Amino acid sequence: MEGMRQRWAFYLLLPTVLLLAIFQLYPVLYAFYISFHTYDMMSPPVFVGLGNYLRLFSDTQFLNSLWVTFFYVFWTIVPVIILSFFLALAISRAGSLGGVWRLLIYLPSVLPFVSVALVWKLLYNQRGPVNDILGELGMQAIPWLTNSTWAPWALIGMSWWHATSYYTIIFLAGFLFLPKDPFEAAIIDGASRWQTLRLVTIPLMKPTIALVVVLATVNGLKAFVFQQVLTDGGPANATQILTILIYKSAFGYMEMGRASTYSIVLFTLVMLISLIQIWLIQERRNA
Amino acid sequence: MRMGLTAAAASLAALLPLSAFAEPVTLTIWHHTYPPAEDFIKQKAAEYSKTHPDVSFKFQSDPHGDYEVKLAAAIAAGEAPDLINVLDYLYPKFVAKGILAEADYKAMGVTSLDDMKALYSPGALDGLIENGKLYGLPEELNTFALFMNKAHFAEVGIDVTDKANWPKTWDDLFALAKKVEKKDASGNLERLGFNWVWGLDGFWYAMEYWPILNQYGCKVLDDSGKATINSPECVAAFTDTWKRVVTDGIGGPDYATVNPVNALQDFSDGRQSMMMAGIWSPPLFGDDVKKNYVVAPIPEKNPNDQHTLLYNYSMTVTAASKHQDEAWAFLRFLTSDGDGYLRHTGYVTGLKDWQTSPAAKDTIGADIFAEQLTHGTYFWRSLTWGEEGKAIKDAIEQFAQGGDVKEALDAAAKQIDFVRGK
Repeated sequence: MEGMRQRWAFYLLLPTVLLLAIFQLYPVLYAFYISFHTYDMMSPPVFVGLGNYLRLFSDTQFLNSLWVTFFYVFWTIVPVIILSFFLALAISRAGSLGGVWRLLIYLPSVLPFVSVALVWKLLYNQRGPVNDILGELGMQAIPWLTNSTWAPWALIGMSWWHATSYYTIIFLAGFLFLPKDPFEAAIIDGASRWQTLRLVTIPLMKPTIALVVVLATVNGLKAFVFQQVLTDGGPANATQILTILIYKSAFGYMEMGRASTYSIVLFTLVMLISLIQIWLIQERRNA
Repeated sequence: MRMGLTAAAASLAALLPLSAFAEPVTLTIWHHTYPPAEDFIKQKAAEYSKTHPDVSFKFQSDPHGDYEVKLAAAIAAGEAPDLINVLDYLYPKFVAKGILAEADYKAMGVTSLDDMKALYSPGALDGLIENGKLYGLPEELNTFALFMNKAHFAEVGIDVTDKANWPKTWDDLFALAKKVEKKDASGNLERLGFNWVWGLDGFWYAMEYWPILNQYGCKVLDDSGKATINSPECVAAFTDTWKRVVTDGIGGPDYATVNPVNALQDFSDGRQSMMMAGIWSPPLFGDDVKKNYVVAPIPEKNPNDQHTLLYNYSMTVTAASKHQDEAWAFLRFLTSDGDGYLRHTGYVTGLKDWQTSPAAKDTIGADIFAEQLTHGTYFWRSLTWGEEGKAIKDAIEQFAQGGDVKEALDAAAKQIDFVRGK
């Protein structure tokens, strides 16, 4: 009977495993293989050993993109996590209006990325609504997308709006499943709101916070559409995150070997963070 | 009876043209998306099939950016089309990779490269020749000229239909730009006198700076292939022209509408009074601007020593094509209709004396473009042109924000040397 169950499980899993192997595993392995070659898609790959990897240390485009990526991820996830946490906390206490707030907050997450990016491109236009508001306040117009200082912040600001939506819902789910007893005990002990938050809510929410940190970091590292549509990595590479550099190297310059090397670096970063996620989840189970 | 049938079949065969018995051939054509050109090529293909019933055609087009990616993927998969549309700066790479077929003169009804050159304006084929061999024919031989909105200038009392009022030097141009620009009550620019293109790809930037670099004696690479884009001549070229537009408050990236589909949006919509562009651009203009433009030569550093741009969006045959002779024969047939091309698509095929054709006489500024073509040179040749063009574009975007021109060009030179392995 057990053997039959296992056979069935094998047959049922087989299509999924095959699909994953063909469309996920094979491309990753092939990218790894190509990262040891120069390959322009027009002639056969030429083996260069570790050449592409050694080149990374003097590749200013890559080093700049790595820095831009970390800057973007850091300044996106820190404010987004704080904002999402407190928004979720407020909605969890919103009573009968909670459903409406949930719907409104989640809306940005269900809109297509490209549509969102195009709308923000219009908002950030030199003659667009954001600068109109600044003008009404007596301030100078800001070149949001054409200045190397402002463009990264324009994208970060937009990501706050977009990402907060998604992570608020995750935090909200975490709040709804918190046990009530510790909070009742805190009230009986006369704990203030700040003490309850610091000593009860945050410790109980740690696994959810860890999950959101990992998800936000991985999603930040994989960002592409907003940068592609709003600035195409410019001006002067100020918003050229790794994914944009990979895309340009592969499809703009036909340097598949180099693009694969960048991809492997990105893959390694994402994998390391995913491993931390697994470790954190295991910690939670063992706690 | 059998003998009679055989004899009848033999007689019938003798009456039919030989081509009716040739193996049917389907030629696949790939082109970047430009509806007027697509329609024209399809029309010419249908004409060709009437006289060559054994030849049929399959046509595919994709927007410029996607087009080159799909083409590379098709070549990699061994499924290259027979006829392709290729910009001249890609020829060194494509020829080095063995992707393009050498011209088949016999199929085109000529005997040699010199015969072919004799059919075209001087220099028209130069960008398509590698190692002394021809690999394509021009479909869109281009240069840039200066477009001016005569209604805007009339508002400030300048008649730009009078050649005497055309800017001869860059100083003249910037002075005119200041005269024609319009500001609101707060002093914000409402209408630009002139601006460069901004926020587009490196090729677009190059089309505008290339003539200027030549006017200043600036070379992107020296004879050994090392970057010299940071030479004093290049620094002066960019400082006197590109940077000046920003520092003098004439234009700059903050004022430009970035639209990859219509790079000339501000001029087309009447928000800008002068721009540099090709003969193909008027179909993109708004109705008001269509009725109100004049074409002048681009300004020069030294009006007695003219330098302009030359580039070529060509048609060529791939080495993978199994029907190369038929493909070359059709290509010659297609591109020999220079008048049709200009009338239906706005493209100049560069055939000798094209500027005297009936279509050219109906085209505003055709004489100016013809004259500008004679002073044109092609971009620098390189296997890594895309990355080199991007490095220069990055430098421009850097100094346009207030950075030092020399420092920005030093960084570009370093990047160019890096990608070239120098």
